[in-house]
Order: sequence, then C-alpha cells, then structure tokens
Amino acid sequence: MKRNGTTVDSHCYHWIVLPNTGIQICRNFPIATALVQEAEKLFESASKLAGKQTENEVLRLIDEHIACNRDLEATPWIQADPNEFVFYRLTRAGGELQLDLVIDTLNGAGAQAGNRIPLRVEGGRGLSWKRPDPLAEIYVEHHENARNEIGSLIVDFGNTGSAFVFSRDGAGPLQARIVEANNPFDPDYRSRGGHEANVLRSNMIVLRVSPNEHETPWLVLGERAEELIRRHPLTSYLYAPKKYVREWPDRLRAPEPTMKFRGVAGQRVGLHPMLHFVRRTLDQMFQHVLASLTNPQFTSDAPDFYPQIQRVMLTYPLTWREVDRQLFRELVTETSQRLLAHEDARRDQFEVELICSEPVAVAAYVLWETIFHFEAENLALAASTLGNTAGTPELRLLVLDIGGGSTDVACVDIGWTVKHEDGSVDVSFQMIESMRFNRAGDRISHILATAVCEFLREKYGIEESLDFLAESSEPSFTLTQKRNAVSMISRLAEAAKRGIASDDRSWRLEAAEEEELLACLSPLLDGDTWKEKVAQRPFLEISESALRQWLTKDTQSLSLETNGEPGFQDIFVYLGELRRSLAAKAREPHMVILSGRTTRLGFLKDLAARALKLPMHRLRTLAEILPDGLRRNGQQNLDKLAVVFGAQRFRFGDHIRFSALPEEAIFNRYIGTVRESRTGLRLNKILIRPGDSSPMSIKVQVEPARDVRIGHAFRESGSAQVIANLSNTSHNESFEVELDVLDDFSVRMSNHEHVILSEWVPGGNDIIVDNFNDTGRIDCEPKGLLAGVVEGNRGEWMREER
Amino acid sequence: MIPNETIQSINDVREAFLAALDGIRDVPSFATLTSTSQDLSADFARIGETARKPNVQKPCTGEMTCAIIGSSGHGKTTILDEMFPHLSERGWLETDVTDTTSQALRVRWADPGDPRADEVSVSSWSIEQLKQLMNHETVREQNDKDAIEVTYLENAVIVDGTNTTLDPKDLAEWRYPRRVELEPFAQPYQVPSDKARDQRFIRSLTVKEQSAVMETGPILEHMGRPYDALQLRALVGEVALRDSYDRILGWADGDEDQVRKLSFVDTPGLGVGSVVKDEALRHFLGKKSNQIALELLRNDELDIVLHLVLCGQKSQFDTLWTEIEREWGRAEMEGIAGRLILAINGMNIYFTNPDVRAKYTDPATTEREGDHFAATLEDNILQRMSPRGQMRPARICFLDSKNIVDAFGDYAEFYGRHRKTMEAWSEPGGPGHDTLQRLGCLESFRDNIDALSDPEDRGQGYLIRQTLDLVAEEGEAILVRKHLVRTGLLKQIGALHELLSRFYDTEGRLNTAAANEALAQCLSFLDKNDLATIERFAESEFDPYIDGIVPAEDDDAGDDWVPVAFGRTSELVKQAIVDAGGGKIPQAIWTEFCRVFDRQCEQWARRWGYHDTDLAPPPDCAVGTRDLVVHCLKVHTREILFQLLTRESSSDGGTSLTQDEDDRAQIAAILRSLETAKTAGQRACTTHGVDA
Repeated sequence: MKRNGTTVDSHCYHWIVLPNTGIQICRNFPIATALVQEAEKLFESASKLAGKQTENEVLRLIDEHIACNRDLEATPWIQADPNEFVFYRLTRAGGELQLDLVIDTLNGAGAQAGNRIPLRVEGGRGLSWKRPDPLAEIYVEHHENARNEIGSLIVDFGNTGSAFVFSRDGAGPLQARIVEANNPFDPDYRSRGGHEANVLRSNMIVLRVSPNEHETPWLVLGERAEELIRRHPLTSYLYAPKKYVREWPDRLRAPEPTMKFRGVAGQRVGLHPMLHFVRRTLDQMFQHVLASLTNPQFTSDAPDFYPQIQRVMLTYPLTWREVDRQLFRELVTETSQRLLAHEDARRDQFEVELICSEPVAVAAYVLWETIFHFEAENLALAASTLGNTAGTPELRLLVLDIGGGSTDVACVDIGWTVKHEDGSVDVSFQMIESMRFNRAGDRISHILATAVCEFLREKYGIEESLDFLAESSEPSFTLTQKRNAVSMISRLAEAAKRGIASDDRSWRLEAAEEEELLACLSPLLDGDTWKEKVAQRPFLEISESALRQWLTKDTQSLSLETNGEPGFQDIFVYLGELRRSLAAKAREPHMVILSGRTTRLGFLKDLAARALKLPMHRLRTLAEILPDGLRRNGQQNLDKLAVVFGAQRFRFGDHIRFSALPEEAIFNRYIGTVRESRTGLRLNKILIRPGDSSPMSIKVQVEPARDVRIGHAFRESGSAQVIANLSNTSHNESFEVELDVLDDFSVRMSNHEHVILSEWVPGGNDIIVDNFNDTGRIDCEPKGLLAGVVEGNRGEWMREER
Repeated sequence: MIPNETIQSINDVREAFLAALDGIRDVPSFATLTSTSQDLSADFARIGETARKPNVQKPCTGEMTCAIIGSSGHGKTTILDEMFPHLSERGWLETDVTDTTSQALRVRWADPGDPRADEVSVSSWSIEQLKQLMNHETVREQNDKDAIEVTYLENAVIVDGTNTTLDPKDLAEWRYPRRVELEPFAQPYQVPSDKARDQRFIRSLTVKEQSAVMETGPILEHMGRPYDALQLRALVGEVALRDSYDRILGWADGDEDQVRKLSFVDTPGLGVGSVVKDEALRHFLGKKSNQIALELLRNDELDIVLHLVLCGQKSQFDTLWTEIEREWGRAEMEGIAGRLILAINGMNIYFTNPDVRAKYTDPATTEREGDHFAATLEDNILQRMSPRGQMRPARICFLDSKNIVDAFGDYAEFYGRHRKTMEAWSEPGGPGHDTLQRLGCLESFRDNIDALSDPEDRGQGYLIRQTLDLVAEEGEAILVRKHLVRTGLLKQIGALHELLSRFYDTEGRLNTAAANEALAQCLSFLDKNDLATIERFAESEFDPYIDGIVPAEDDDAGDDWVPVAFGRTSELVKQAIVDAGGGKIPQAIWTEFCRVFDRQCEQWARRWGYHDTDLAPPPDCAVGTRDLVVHCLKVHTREILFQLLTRESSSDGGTSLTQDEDDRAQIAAILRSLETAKTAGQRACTTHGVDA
C-alpha cells in the first residue's frame, strides 16, 4: 500500500490524523490482526514497558486527565517516544484487546505532515534485526489529502461559555452545524452530560507548560478546569477570559493585569499579561473545534473531513470599544494563522470578520426564525405577534442581553421588503439606541457569595477574608484551602442561581454541601465541633423573593460608597431612562427579547417589564418567540446559541437577507462632566445635547492632581453614567484639554503629557468587576457594601428550620 | 416624454398630504388631543418629518437627473467636453488635467436668452456630512497616524496639521495654513457673473493646481467669511450651472422637450485617492470623491445612472455599490440595474490595441480567452460592477471621442475603415455575436454602429437617445418610486389616516370620550399600573380555551380558518371581560364597550394580518401552521387587553373634549382627502409596477 510515495506497513492498522488539530484521541482502536493471537503476551509486555516509564511526568498527566474510559481494564499509559507527544495503552474488554491512542498534533511528530509513528510494545523504536511488528501506526496526513469542506466558522466568545458554528459553503442556514466540542482532558467525559457539549465553558486552567516557548502548552477548558483549580490552586487559571480582552494603550500600561504561567505540571518564568492567556484560551478553543470536527467522538480512525475555514466571523459585545474589537479580531487572526490550513489558492482570501454585535445577532436570530416559520406572505401576522400592531413592515426590538459579565441593551429598528416573485425578504437593521453595562450575572453570583459568607460568619463566626493576597490570621489556612473555599462558594452561588431559576424558585444549602464547604475552612474553626453545628440552626435558604430584594437594593443611587459604580438594579433604572428617551422620540420598542443566561432568572423579566412599562407578553425569552412545537434541537442553551446562530443567519440567511445600517450620526444623550449627588451621579456641566451631530469636540478644565469624570444621561437631570475619566498627574498646573466625543460611549483625546484619559464602561471601570473567582475578593468594593445589601431581610434567608 | 398626468397625480398626492398636515394643526379638537397625549404628539411629529424631505417639499417637475459615473482616467470629461462644448468654452470642463477637485457638476438646460443661463451656484456639504466623512474609520486612522488633529465644533470642523509627523519633504510643499477651519455655507453661494467667467477662479475651484501656481489666498467670500481653494475642496459638494444643450438637442430625435427636462450630474472619478497637494486635508479628500456619488445616490438625486468605462479597463462601480450597501443596506441598490446605462468609451481601442484586437482576429485567442466583448464587457465590467454577481444594465452603448480618434486620422475615415469589421461582429457566427446576444444588445448594436461611425454623433448622440428611450420606458416608474415610495409619502399618508381614525370616525366625530369611559369601567379588574395583571388574566381565562378554537389537525377547515379563529378568539375575550364585570356594569356602558370592541377587533384583524394570511388549513396544513396560529392567538388575546387598557384617551376620563360642527367637518374633509390621495398613490404604483 502506498500513500504519498511512502510505503506503509501492511500488517497493522493506521490511525490517520491531521496536523494542528489539537490533542487527538482514538479510543478502541484495533491492534494489528497478526498480533491478536498474542494478546496476553502483548498486554504483559505493554505493562512492563509502562512500568519503565513510571517517572514520566507527562504520562502521569495523560493518565490522570485524558478523556479515556478509566473503568476499562487497561495497561498504564505508554509514551511511544520520549521526545514525542504520542501515547497509547492497551485495553481489554470482552476478551478483545484494543488500543487507546493519543497524539498532540501541535507539538513534535504530530505537527508534521508525512510522519509515521509506529507503536511498539517491545523496545519502542528499537533497531534490533528482529524488529517486532507495531501494534498500530499513526500517520500524520497532509491536510489537502483529507476531504476538505470549505466553509466559515462563526464564533461567540463568552465569559461563561463559548459557542461555534461551522457553516459549509453553499449550505443553507439550517444545515450549519453547531460544534459539539470534545474536551480531550476530561476523564469524566462520559458523565458530563449534554449540557456542556454545544456551549463550551470558557474558563481555562493550564495543565502543562514547558519552558520552551515554541512548545504549545496543554490547557483544559470547561467544567473540568473548575474542578482542577480546586485541586491545584496555584495553577494559572482564567475564570472569565473575555473580560480581559482590552486594549491597553501605553499610557495605561501600568494597570494591565498579569499572571504567572504555571501549569499543573511545569511553568514558565515571569509574569505574563492576562491577554496572553486569552490568546492561549482562544487557541485551545480552536483546537477543540478542529479536533471535534475532524474526529467528532474521539473514535475516528481517520479524519471525517477537514474544515477548511475560509472565514472566521466574530460577534462582540456592545461594551467593547472599537479598539477592543480590533484587538479581538487580531487575536483571532493570530490563532487562525497558527492553526488553520488553507489551499494555496485560497490562502489570500482568508479573513476574520467582526460580523455584528451580540444583541444584533440575537435580533437577527429572532427575525430569521420568525420569517422562516411565518413565511414571506404572513409577515404582518408575524410582526403583530412581535408587538407591531400597526400593520407596517417594521419592528423595533429591544434586546436585553444579560450575560455573565456584561449587560448589553440594544434597540434595533428593523424594516423589511418582500420580493413576492421569489418569496425572499430583505431585512435592514439599524441600532437606534444602546446601553452597555459591566454588571450582569456575576454581580448576582457576587451577592449570593456574600450571603454565603455572611451565613458562615453568623453561624460559625468566620470573619476571615478570602482574598488570595491577604495574609491569613491562621497560618494553617493555606492558599490552597482559600482557593478551594472560593471555588466552592462560587459553585454554590451558581447552584443558587439555578435553583432560583427553577420551578422551585429557591435554593437551600444542603447539609452535605455545608460540610464540604466547612472542610475547606476547617483551620478557621474550633476542632471538630463545627460538624455538630451543621445540623443546628440557622440554615441557609435563598428564595427568589429574597434575591429580588437584594438586587433592588444594589443601586448606586442608594449608596455613594461605590465611587459612582452602579449596582445590578441600576440596569433597570437606566432601562427606565432609556424607555423615556425612546418614548420622547416615538421609538418605543415593540418587543423586548431577553437573552443571555442570566435571564433564566424569571423575575428579571418582571423587573424589565416594570422598568419599560410593558406587559409581560411584550417581553420574551428566546424560547418563547415561537411555539414549543417549532423549536429545534439545542434549545436548552438557546440564550447562548442564539448569538452564534443569529450571526450565521445574518450572513448566510438564504432567502432572508440582512444588512446593517449605520447608527445615526447624532448624540442620543446629554454628555458632560459628572458630579455626585445624594441620589447618585448627575451631570454637572452639560457639553453635548441629544440631537447634536456627532462627533463633537469639547474642552474640559482639569485642576492639578484632580480627576474629572465625563458621563452621559438620558435626561438633563437624570442619572448619569461615567464614560471616561480625566486624571491630571501634575500637582501644580491645571490644563484645559480637548476631547473628541465620537458617540454616546466613546471619548478620545490626543496624548497629553500630564492628563491621562481612561475610558470607562458603565457598570464598572475595571475589567474584573465581580470576578471574585480570580481574586477571592468577596464584598470588597468597597468592603461591606454587599453585606449591607443582604443584611436587610436576614430573617428571610437565614432560616430557623431546614 | 413623461405624461403630465403622471406628474400631476404625484403632485396631487403630495399636495393632499401637505394640506392635511397644515389643516389638521388648525383643528381645535386635534390640537387638544396632541397637547394631552405624548404618544399622539410624537407620532404626529414623526409623520410631519416626511414633509421636510426635499422630494416632498418641492413639487415634481418631471425633471430627470442623469449622473455620469466613471473612474478617473476613463475619458469622462473628454466626452462631456464634446457633448457640452459651451461649458468647455466657459472653462467649467477641464480636459487638460486629471487632478480635479471632488465635487459634482450639475448641468441644467436654459434657453440662451434666459437670464438664468449664466447663473452658477456653489453648494457646500452640511456639517453632518462633513463630520461623518471626517469621522470615517479610515480617515480617522490615517489622521491619527500622521498626527493630524481634528476638532469637531457645532458648526465647523478644524483640521490641524501643525504637529503632523508627515514627511518633511511633503510639508515643504504645503502652501496653505496648517490649521484649516471648515465651516459649511449656510446657503448656496451664487457666483457673481464676473467671477463665473474668471478662469483663475474657475480653475481654483475645480482643479488641484501645482503648488507653484497655486492661489493660496481667499478665492471667494460668502456671508462675511473668506474661503481659500483648499477649504473649498473639502466643503463644496456641488457646482450647478446651465447650458443651452445645443448639441444634445440635435441628437434628440424629436424628443427635445424631454431633453430639456434632463439634468446631467458629472460626479468625481471613482477610486481617486489622496494626494500631497491636499495638505492637511489629504486623508479626508482621499475619500471624498466616492462619497459624493454615494450621497447623490443616497439622496435619490440620480434617476438614470450613466456608467462610463473606458474600453479594456475595469469598472470600479462595485466599490460604490459595496459602500452603499454597507452604509445604507441592500435595498438601496435594489433595481439600480433597471436605470443604469453602461457607456463603453473608446470604441477605437478595439482596433488600435493589439491585445484586444487579437481576441476577435485570432480564433485561438477567442477560443481560449473568449471574444473581445466577453473580455471587455463581461469580465472587465459587468462581472465587476456589483458584489452580487453579473449585472445586466438596462442599456449598453458604445461611443467614442472625436478628439481622441482624430489622433489616428480623420474620425469618419477611421470608422469607415472599421465599419465592416464591426458589422461582422453582430452577424451570426461572427466573433462577439454570441456575447452581444447573451447581453441582449445584438439588435441595438447595429444602430449603435451607425451612430458611432457618424462623426457628428460618435455614439454620444446614441447614448442620449438611449437615455431618452429609457426615460420613456421607466421614467414614470422612477418618478413614482422616488416621490411617493422612497420619500415615505404614501406610507405616511396611510399612517396619518390611521392616526386620525384612532380618534375620529369616518364622519369626523370624536370617538374617544364615551368609549374610554366604557372601557375604563369594563376593564376595572385589570390594573393599568400593574400590567402583569394582563398576563395573569389571560393565562387563566384564555389560554386553556384557545387550543379548542383552532381547527385540529384532522378537522376539515376552510381557507378562512385563520380569520375565523381570530373572530372566535375575540368573542372569547369579549365574553371573558363581560364575565369579569360580574353584572355590575350598567347596560349602556356594555353596549358602548361592545361597539368599540367589535370595531377595534375588525381593525385589528386587518392590521394584524389575519385577513391576509396564507397558511395551509388543516388537515393539509404544513407542520407547525396550527401551532403558529394558536401561538398568535394567545399573544393577541393579551395584546387586545393591553390595547384596550392603554387606549389613547383625549384627556383623563375623556369627558372634557368637546367638538363643534366645523371641527367635525374639517376632520371629515381631511380624512376624505387622505383616503383619495392614498388610493391615487396606490393606483400610480400599481400602474407603473412600483412596489408600494
């Protein structure tokens, strides 16, 4: 048998892989037929060979983390060559001997097309004259020899989860496939369930990193990463990677966050910008995508096909500035260049495109599905169910996207024309208003975590800070335990959200969970007496009503201690302001679409309805847009998948064609300097008014060693949100600086020797607001603020009975 | 010639709308309504915005604008020079330079004896247009890169190159101030007659002169403000003047009246980039040429597009197309092909360029690369004009310039020599025949040869006749679409009618007071301040029953199953409201409530699309249509309650509004006039195949 001019051994089977497709696994691969008769001997030899490699650190990682069935009778893992990342083991099931194979296609032999890697149990690649037959052989095939499917990859990169769609060129919108990512480093893959399959959890931990900069590290994503960080607290870990996508200009380089680069095994010296880890995370995600498409179940003995990705299309949150979007595009471009293979003729055509913002993608999804089901002839009926009762071919959708890290609100004006001759529909989108907020589901987790801490304080007297950087009053309370405690609290907060979102509408801390949490905190507790206390009052039970009361109190206007940073409830305060602004322009939304996983909390719909003064049927979650009978697969994560499907349909909508119109070049807000008032932030000096043509240059005086905040508000006397801060570093000179205000959210300034401009995103000027997972800082901004929020209705959630 | 009746009917519709807007403001009851209802006031204001659109403000005159769009260096000015020799004589067409300024030149007809014949007016861009282009991503990036600072004031933009990091050698060439203030004209500048003949002035306005001869001082003063040539390059959007059309009238072939109603807009060359001579404005001006054409297209000022491409060269029209779609959506370019004439300039190139000639003289080349038309027309132009695939323009014309052809010998002699060759191309089996046939211009090509060979016509006259032909064919539809549809006029007439119908009946009587009172009493079980009460009521009173209202999969339903289901649902809602009232409401109130409810439901059924649905009925219905209808009905039960609960009231309780007979009569007249206008507008659309 010949392949590409190379003679290959005809006595064993070949597992064919493609370079740069991540960690590839082939489970249950047959051994060479000639060797079947020697099963016992082989198993014994393999075990012996493995015995010689017990000190191998990489093998230990494979053994512990690789996604192969641990319940099978198997030899220990064997490294085919000490210099290569190729591993195998023999398994025995039903009297049959098989192989589990692993190869890293980014490092070593797996990265080079044309390589043949024989897997032998005797002498590895020994040179004896009586060379034993290999059990199997891995062949690294050239990309062009695989069946190439040319297409586009649509990416929704999220803080909590990310989703990918591969759309083959020429395929219809419904034929696009959601990538069900396989996690190669997850030994519990069989019990993981489907919920993680189509939305990949974005958090990342470094499994293995070598000092060699040219070697691609092994990273673990998903739930498994969360589990590992509890066991390896000092390892580099990213909880919400998207929050770190931020362009740091030179003038603001100092506060750019960094992290050590340490794996469960291995490390690299020094501190590395967080952005570096975001890049690595994106790399890993792309590897997952390529691995999952070429080898969907990790059981393929040859690539099903190679996705020749011609176009990568990205969605982005509204909270990102233009520079952040471009940075994201560059990151993905770099990843694509590293990992994706193209035919020569198509290489130049490859592009990475920022296709639309996430809320626009959601609106496109809603429109596409609606038009598809109602068909072009019945669009008046369709529009009326979406709230346009005037019978005109237009719609204003307000997308309220409350995700993990940010809240995006976009009011999109949509118009359509139907071509009756072919039933096609041209749909135009124009964003007429938007709101961007750095508060979202993580804030709710943060409040819930605070409640857990308050509960621990009340019941067990635990006052200790869990801040990773704070020195513990009790030396035996190690960082590992602290990290474990924070992870556990984080998990409980997520469980609480799920419980409150369920039909039960509440969540309680079970005794076993309480014990598990206390075990992490045991050095802070007196002996073993705490175990008895678990069964005693008080008990923690958080109802929807209790949480709702907390959120209502989490507002800037009730507290000036937050330095102007709004709380969760301010989303709805500003939503009310947005409604007034739209009403004044007779552009109120016909329908509100709730997207983002945080909107699974049912009462948020009611809060939004009240803020927007709309009846409940004018607010829908994505699952409520169409009747149950018309829903398709994967609806359980629709609040996430709608973004990626919407982006795909935005571009490849078939007979439903979308185009985005630019926003009107006018300001919609009052913009000026900001001052504090008893009821929160207000505009002080108004410099720009709604209706003024954008952009506009304004002049602002900054006194020595002082800051001036620039903000916007819907009304002259309404609540203001900070969009930029000017800081005069000179202690004796005041300056009048000129700023270009490009739109309601963006401010620019030429470099100034003494005055520094930093842009803010409303809801938090820091990229890591409410990100206590990465810091352990629960209720520290400022300290005690959130404790005050949960304090008010203590009797309602600290129960006397379980 | 476009019939006067069409123009008249467009103007009738327009006038009816404007009169209704004016008239309604004077009706006391309506004034009271708007003063008490923010929603009504906002809706009315939005309808009123349409009246401010230029194509609504001014009457339709039947004038058709032909835009000449082409790339720089494709011979556009040379052709215009021969078509409008008087303009050349007056110095407004510069054929000896390629570096012209980015502005549109609009030419209208005037009788030589008309006092307006010598008028020239210069219009500037608005501050919004200026800011928009200055803030264009590319311009901003390039300015940042070169440290050219931009300040955006309310009525002006300042571009400051004082601290620029551009090459000092470039800077040494700069002649204008480094800080350029751009303040648009508040109104067009009428060029004084002496200046309109002053060649130095004209050149300063239209040509980017070499720095050595550049006029750097102010070249005009307008409203007390001086402007130099660099400022004008950025500010001026259009120069408008008149011409006697002597030459093109001679080509009109009996349609002189229509020719006089044509205006020609010479747009700046496509794909013109930035040049050093533009100094601090180089990046801005590098984008301005395309923007001019974009703005004209966007503002619906171009009725017929004459796209001029030099034979053998490639069209750059797709850059414009892509930009328009990106900026304004796909619908903007919808139907452009139907009003676009492709003018291939430089027919002589088929005979003078050896590479092109080989495509029809050498069978092997023809076989391998396609014939000369396939290469020059399809590959170079038609496939490149649109990002949506090959374009099929309404007409294709071949023309040439006498000045150019004379360089190869006498024009008449040159084409006399090649005429037979050209004729052979259109013969069956001849090279090019199949391509011409495929492009649908085989027949016209023969006429085109006649015109092209005539040194007095040169195909330019043929282009004018083709334009007139297209105007005759499409002109009415173009005007109807432009004035009634794209302005939103027809839509807003419907909206105004609808708005008035919410408050008045067809006789002009206020219908709000009694109705509101009845509704308020009958819906007292719902809380206007807690809209969640709607959801709760609907969940318990409607949802369990709707499934039974819609025919099941195995029922034999009629074609009207959807409106019937809506009718039954509205009865369900009415009955539920009656039941919730519990007999406490007086009969008179119920009667009024039922009257309003039934009338509203009739309107809703129409507006909400129930009357026009095309959903297959059970038992043949496609999968899901039944589910869809159940879904719609459930949503609409809630919507009915919401609409009734929040129905516009003329004032609190609705009892304070009174109406006299005059008031009623005025409203009735306005409603009738709007109805008539709407019908006339829709008829015009239907007659001319325009999608309303």
